[in-house]
Amino acid sequence: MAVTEQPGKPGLGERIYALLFQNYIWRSVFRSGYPNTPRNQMLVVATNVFLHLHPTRIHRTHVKITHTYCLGGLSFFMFLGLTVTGVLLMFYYIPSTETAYINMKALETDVQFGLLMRNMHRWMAHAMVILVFLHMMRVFYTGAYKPPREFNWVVGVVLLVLTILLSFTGYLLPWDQLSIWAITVGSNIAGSAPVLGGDVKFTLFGGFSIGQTSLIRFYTLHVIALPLLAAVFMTVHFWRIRRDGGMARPL
Amino acid sequence: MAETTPRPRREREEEVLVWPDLVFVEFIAVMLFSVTLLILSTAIDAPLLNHANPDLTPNPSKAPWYLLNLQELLLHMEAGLAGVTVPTIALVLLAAIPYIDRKTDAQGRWWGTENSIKIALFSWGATIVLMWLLILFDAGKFEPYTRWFPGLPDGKGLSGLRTLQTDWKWTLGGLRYPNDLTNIPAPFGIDNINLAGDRKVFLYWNKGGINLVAFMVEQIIPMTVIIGLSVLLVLVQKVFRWVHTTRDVMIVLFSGFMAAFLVLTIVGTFFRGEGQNLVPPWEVPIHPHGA
Ligand code: HEM
Repeated sequence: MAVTEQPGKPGLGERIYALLFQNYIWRSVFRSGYPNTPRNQMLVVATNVFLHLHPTRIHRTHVKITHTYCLGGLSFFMFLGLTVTGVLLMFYYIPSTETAYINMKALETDVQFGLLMRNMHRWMAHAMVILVFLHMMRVFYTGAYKPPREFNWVVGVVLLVLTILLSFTGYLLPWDQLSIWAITVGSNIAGSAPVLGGDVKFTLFGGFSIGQTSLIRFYTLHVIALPLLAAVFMTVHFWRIRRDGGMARPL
Repeated sequence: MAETTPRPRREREEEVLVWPDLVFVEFIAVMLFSVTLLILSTAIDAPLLNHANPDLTPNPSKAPWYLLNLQELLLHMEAGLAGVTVPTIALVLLAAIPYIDRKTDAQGRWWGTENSIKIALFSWGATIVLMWLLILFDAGKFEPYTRWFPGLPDGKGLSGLRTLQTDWKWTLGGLRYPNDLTNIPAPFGIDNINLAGDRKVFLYWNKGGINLVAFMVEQIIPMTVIIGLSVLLVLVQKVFRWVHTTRDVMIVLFSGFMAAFLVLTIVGTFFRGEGQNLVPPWEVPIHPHGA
């Protein structure tokens, strides 16, 4: 008779592990086991809605940091971070020309970590604009826009415009001298459009000059309309990367 | 669609698992950025100037930095052309790149074609130099060296493109420039296309006639320079025998575009002081008077 190995008694470590990660409740949340075997590593990606943005396997060259410099992923991370800090800021901000500036001041003095939230939101916004530009350059110089990825490049250009618009609309909200004049200058640029210029400016401002009507428009665009649109286009962007056969590779 | 055929076995062996290999890299990147931004946010506060005052215009007034490229362009040509027409065309062309360059060669790896690095470097470099020369010219920095230019008042040179509209005078046969060309009656007395709300389709077409001089200086010449230099940048590198494929042409144009964009943004941000004058960075007020 062949000698079969008899499992020994489970040690303390294994018993704790089983208690923590193999109990009924844990298994109801995470379907796959701990990702310490190739099977579980694939399952953890495939069964988790967030990780499922990824494929389970990926070509060697694409995990090299120098292929993407993580720029697209980091743009997305900025978007997530901006959503979190933005929601926190919304608790303290009233989009009225009477209160907006006072609310901003109060972040510095009356709100725990208020200024930190605001600073994070602002620097992440700048970082996102820069990262999206760099991501576009990385995609271009790796020739990753070529068929079948033409349309995803177009989706990318839309995302670039949305990123800039998100930043632009947010710029007005503090209602200080910097914000209203930057937005006035920016809107005057749009207002110089041939034929339609006047209408574009009137629509942006909700009137002939910058005021309460403009603030509520910029606010609504900034906190709901543009983020939703951007989220929709990002969904398409990520979905298309998978549908187009993963990231581009030499044929 | 090539993607429907199963991947050959050999390729499978070239693949790695996303967990841990990719998720690990992503985690590190996210941590690096989180920590950097957190440190940045404790060190530098977001600006908050005085309460908004629509009656007090800061000098200079600037758009957010990522629009300063357009604000800079605005100083050199008609506002609608710089602020809307050129960027719109640029965005459409940008989106059209994959529909123009459709070959699947040289994809999915950095650079890809034989000369692409050379081409990119040359296009970036040449564009940065050219942009600076144009900006310096329009700021009148070459005025002392252009006093030889015929048709200008004694001892005066070109202090920018608009000198051709303001100071340039000559006669050729019976034609007097600029007076004879600022009010050319439209043939058959046709009028500009006027839309509702006093909107004219052509800018330099007034009741009396067409201002050909302003049209040239504000729109035709700037457009010619933009298109001309782009074409030149491609042609020069064809002469060098660097540019062979459509991909190469795209690299020239994309690099030139990004370089021009960068120079305009930097000049608009760091080199424009009071009255939008071209000044060194240390003379650009951080908190301009009025803010
Ligand atoms: C908010 C903006 C954007 C986000 C969040 C985003 C996100 C991503 C991510 C996560 C990837 C995976 C690879 C990588 O990280 O590089 C990717 C790939 C890609 N992106 Fe973006 N992107 C954005 C904007 C753009 C822009 C502006 C363009 C081009 C104009 C673009 C074109 C592409 C293309 C063509 C790919 C496929 C690359 C390949 O196959 O190698 N994206 N994007």
